[in-house]
Amino acid sequence: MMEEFENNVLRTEHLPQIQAEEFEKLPLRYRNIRWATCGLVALGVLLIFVALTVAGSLLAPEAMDLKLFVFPTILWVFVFGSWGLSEWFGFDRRGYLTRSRDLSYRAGWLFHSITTVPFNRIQHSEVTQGPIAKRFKICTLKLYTAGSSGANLQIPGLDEGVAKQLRQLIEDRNES
Amino acid sequence: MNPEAFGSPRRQHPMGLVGYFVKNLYVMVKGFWPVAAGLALSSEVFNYASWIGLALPLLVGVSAFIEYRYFKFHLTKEALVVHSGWIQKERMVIPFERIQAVHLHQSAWHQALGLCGLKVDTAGSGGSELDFAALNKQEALDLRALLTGGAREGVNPEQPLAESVEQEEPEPLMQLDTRKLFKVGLTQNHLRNGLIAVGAFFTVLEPLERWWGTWIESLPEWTLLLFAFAWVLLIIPAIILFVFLAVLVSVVSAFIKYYRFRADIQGADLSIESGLFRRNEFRIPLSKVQLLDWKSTWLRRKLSLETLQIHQARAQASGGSQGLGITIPGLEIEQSNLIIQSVFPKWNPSVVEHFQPDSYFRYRLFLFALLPLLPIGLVLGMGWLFWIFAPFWVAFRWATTQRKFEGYRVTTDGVGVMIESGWWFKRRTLLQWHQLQRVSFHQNRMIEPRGLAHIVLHSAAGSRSIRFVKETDARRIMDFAAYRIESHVGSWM
Repeated sequence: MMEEFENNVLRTEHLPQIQAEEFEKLPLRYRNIRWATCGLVALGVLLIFVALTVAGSLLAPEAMDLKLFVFPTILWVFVFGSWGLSEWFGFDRRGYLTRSRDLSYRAGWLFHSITTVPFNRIQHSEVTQGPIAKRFKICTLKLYTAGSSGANLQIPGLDEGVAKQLRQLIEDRNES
Repeated sequence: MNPEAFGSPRRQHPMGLVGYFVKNLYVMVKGFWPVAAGLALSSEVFNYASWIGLALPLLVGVSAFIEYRYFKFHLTKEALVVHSGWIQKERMVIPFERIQAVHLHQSAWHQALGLCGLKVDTAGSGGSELDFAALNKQEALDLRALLTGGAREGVNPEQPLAESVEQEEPEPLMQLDTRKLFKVGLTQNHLRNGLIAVGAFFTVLEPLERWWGTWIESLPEWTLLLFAFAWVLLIIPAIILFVFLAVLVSVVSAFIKYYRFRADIQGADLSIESGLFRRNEFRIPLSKVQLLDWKSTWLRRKLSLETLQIHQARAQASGGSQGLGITIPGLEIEQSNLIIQSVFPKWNPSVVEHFQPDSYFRYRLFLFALLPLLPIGLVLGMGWLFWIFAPFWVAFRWATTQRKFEGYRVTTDGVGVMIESGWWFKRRTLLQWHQLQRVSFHQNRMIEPRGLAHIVLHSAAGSRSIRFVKETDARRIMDFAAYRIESHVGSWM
């Protein structure tokens, strides 16, 4: 018996759409890690600057001038202020969306992006976890597609269990 | 030749030893050229000339012999298997379905002896995965036929060659005669070629500084004084000489690279032959092409010519923006259309939807085009010369950015997508939605309030952007790309 042939009109507005509100958010403990990283780097740079200032005032006090502090201070405020702002406003924009045929990840505040990787194009996947991430039970899911160097989509800050589930889902979809 | 000959491990032609010797000698000379040139100036080195003359060829010869002796290959039902290495042994298995293309090449010594080199490209390598230094020509043709035939439908080594490989009469697509070759040479990027030639000249000259330094010192003092005062007069002749040399380098390099260039569609493959001293024969299965890229300059368009780059999937590790690719220069519009029909037969330019960037893109282009005025102003000290120059620059860039903006457009028929850009240097790219690997949507704080966004289409041969389109269109494009990739059944590479 011949299968019934269909060739219906398909309008792009009827295609499945990626909706911003459907994205799942990352665990709050990942936000804490990001804040801690930002704070520690800012503090480290500040301490180096203070150490250099102290060393300069001891070795060459006559060369010390208020003007010397202006540019580094402005730079420090600008760099870490931008970083802090992007963490403050950007974290809520981070998230992932799993649909039956693809996985999407969005991130960024100043520069915002959404990347969609169809399951049928994933060559392999990886779950990585550093020592600090291990302590907080979070990990990064890396997806690789053909034709470019490095991971093509990285979803950092995933709950361990969620990362494993997502990886299993990708494997199941590619096998079926 | 019976394909069973490839069933058991075998070596290349014994003259492959010469190929490895020449290759290793070239690598050694290239790597140690500055050191060798420096040492050559030392009189002490000449005392050891006979030892060096004996040891160098011996060293290169031994390494070539080891490379040749321990390189064996054979075909299984599903793959090409290669064993290599003496101390560190390596076994490489290349499944036929991973083979992107098989290329033949013939240097002068290959041609004299009726031999051929053979290269195998896979999606797992940035360049060639495997390079055979020398095979008997018929053997190379048989191996290529089996590998490319096997790449499409799997090979049974027990099956006679005539049955496993379909032989078809080549359909000539295009060839470059001397006149057209000259046109290709004349329309190359002369500035780039000239600068490369100047760079190469100084690279060769630099290690020999002691020789030409001594020569300059030996010149009479009045010549140096004359040069010190009259160098300004030499600027114009130097520019003319540079332009002449640049054009000469372009034409000569076009002749060396594209001499007797011929492109054919042979069954399901695109076959290309070219080269003066080294004949290259590329063969790419049409189904493995990921992306077509046409590039043209104003002069080339006046001659109704374009250059086409055909890209296949590239390796994970290779990085960069280019995939495995070959170039067809001097292509006319009818020939381009023939290639499109062969590579992307479903592409239908008569049923299309266009996307154009927002006018914000036009003003942004103009703003960036004005930036060179800042350093120019600083150099000219914001004097009267600057204020004469600036209005001309502003008017010129206003006109050129308008043209550039108008030249940017995206066209899709639902099967493929054509991205056109540029004004002086025009570029158009054609790829198929279902061959994409992933798609991404980008916005920043400048374009988000204006309701604009960029889309990046990532293929296995590189990424292409659709920039400054309306956010609603960008989201539609993204959803459509995902739909086309996910609904596609079958091979994409």
